[in-house]
Amino acid sequence: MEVVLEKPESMNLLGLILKMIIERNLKQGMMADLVANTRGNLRLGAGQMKATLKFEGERVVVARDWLIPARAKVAASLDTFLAIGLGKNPVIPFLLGKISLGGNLLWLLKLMPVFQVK
Amino acid sequence: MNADEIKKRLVAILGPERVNTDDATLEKYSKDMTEAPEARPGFVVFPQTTEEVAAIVKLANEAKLPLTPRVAGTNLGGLTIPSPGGCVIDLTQMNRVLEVNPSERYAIIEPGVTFEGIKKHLDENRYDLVIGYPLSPPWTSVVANCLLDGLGNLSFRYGTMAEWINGIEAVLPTGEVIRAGSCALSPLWFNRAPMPDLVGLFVSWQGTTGIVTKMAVQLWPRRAERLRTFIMFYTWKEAFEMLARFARYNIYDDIGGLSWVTSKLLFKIEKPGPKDPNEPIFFLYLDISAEDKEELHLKIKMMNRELERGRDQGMQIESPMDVRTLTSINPDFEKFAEFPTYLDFLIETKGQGLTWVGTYGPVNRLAEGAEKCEKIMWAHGFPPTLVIRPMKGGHYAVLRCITIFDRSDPEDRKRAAAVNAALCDQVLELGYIPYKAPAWAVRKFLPRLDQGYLHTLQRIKDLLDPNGIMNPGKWLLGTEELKQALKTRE
Repeated sequence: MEVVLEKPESMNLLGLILKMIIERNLKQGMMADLVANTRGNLRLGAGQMKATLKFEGERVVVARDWLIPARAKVAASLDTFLAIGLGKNPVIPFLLGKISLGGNLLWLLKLMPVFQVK
Repeated sequence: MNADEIKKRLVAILGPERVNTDDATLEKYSKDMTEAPEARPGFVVFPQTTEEVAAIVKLANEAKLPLTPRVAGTNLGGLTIPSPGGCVIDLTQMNRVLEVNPSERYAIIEPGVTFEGIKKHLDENRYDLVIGYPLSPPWTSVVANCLLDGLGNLSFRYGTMAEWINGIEAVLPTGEVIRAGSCALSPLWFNRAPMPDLVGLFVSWQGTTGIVTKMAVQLWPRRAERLRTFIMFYTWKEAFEMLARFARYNIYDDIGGLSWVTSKLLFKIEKPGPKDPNEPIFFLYLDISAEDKEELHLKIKMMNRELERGRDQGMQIESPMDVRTLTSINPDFEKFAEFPTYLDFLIETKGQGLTWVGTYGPVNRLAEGAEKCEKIMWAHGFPPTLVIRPMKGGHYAVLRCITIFDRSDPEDRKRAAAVNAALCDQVLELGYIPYKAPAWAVRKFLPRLDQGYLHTLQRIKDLLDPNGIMNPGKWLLGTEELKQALKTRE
């Protein structure tokens, strides 16, 4: 299981952060199994930065900008995004309107731990 | 005097173990990290006392042997590249902390004391004092950085590190030993005032007026609470507007910032391409210290209030992030959490070439300077790694453009030299002045230098160093080029 940056030299900070966190998380067997069994694009937005995680089974590709189609999307301010990335429960920011979710929410919730710091 | 005779005399002063003329040593001392042309010395010597330094200097006068003092050689200006066939005086074995005065808050140190060394000494002996640290490797010399007008993490409060010097002992180019500062009169090295300030004869002269063998450097109280926080900005203009506002408050130990390229380097992207227009351009950092949590919270509150004011005025500012939080995302951010800082991502690169144009200049032209320098660096194929810091309460600022290149590639060295030249032209135009200025930079600003100033520099040099042995060519002092420039103006 590998995490690959699409065009690393032009990747934004969001993409670089995601790669680092996911790579670390995938070292845990359960998380790797979860990712290996899923397919589809997840769009992420933090502040003005955008990235897409492409789950391709054997690997996760981090791409800059938003790709179409996407199974789910999540966008928030950079602060909120990083807070969630650092393990904060996303439900409260969602209820407060600080985070915007879309698409297949069940799939998104299942994948959320993949990009949260453990 | 021929080389064999000189070697014999050096050995008589230092013993055979501390006089080196083997190929590997001479090769090592012929270069630094920059693009500057190499020059092979004839001798590398390792004195351990002031008396030994004085004896070497006297011999050098007799033999007309050029001398270049050196410790780590991390000045990024080619300032320790010797004259061909000359003698490098490596001061790393003069590395004693001679005294720490806790009440007057200074340490008397030798030139080989590094930032790592003084920290260890202060920590191990449980002094409740700290020194300021530069963004240089831990093995950098404290004395050299002070003498070269370098800066550190306390420079926002206290100015360049030269301003932290209380006094010195130095060997003049003719071999006499001088003390300057209060130590010229008092047993205590507490200050430079109220004596005529002869310490200035050695500051920023790049080793052309003598060799400093002892220095008293100021220390500051260690505070119980410390916070380093990063704030991201999306435009230079807003970043520097906020930087100037923060500088008004007398509550920060340090204010500074790094361009977006640094974050990419921390994520191991060695050659970042153009920035995503949607990502932050500048990472401003604020260091806050306090005696207790209450003081710290109050200062954080003031910082947040200022940020809120900026947002109310339409600025796009991200919330501050503690360096510990950033470290939990990327452990490499730890490098910014502790002092002395070791920025391996700048040094341990392919070809290990590192150079810069580092300048002091006006705070209110930082945005213009950063924008223009960014364009120049891209035009030469280098991602714009900029470091910025207001100095001494915001009276002036540092604008530093860092270039990472491959020293082993002659073409890359040429590109590094070209980008430095273009950056230097630009910053001079904006009123910034290069510090630790290499000879090529001096050549650029020579036509702009005040005639009286230039004349006085050369006269002082001639007076102190009649045989022109001390680090020849630095500041172009004693060169035909400078003499010609002086004549032309007359």
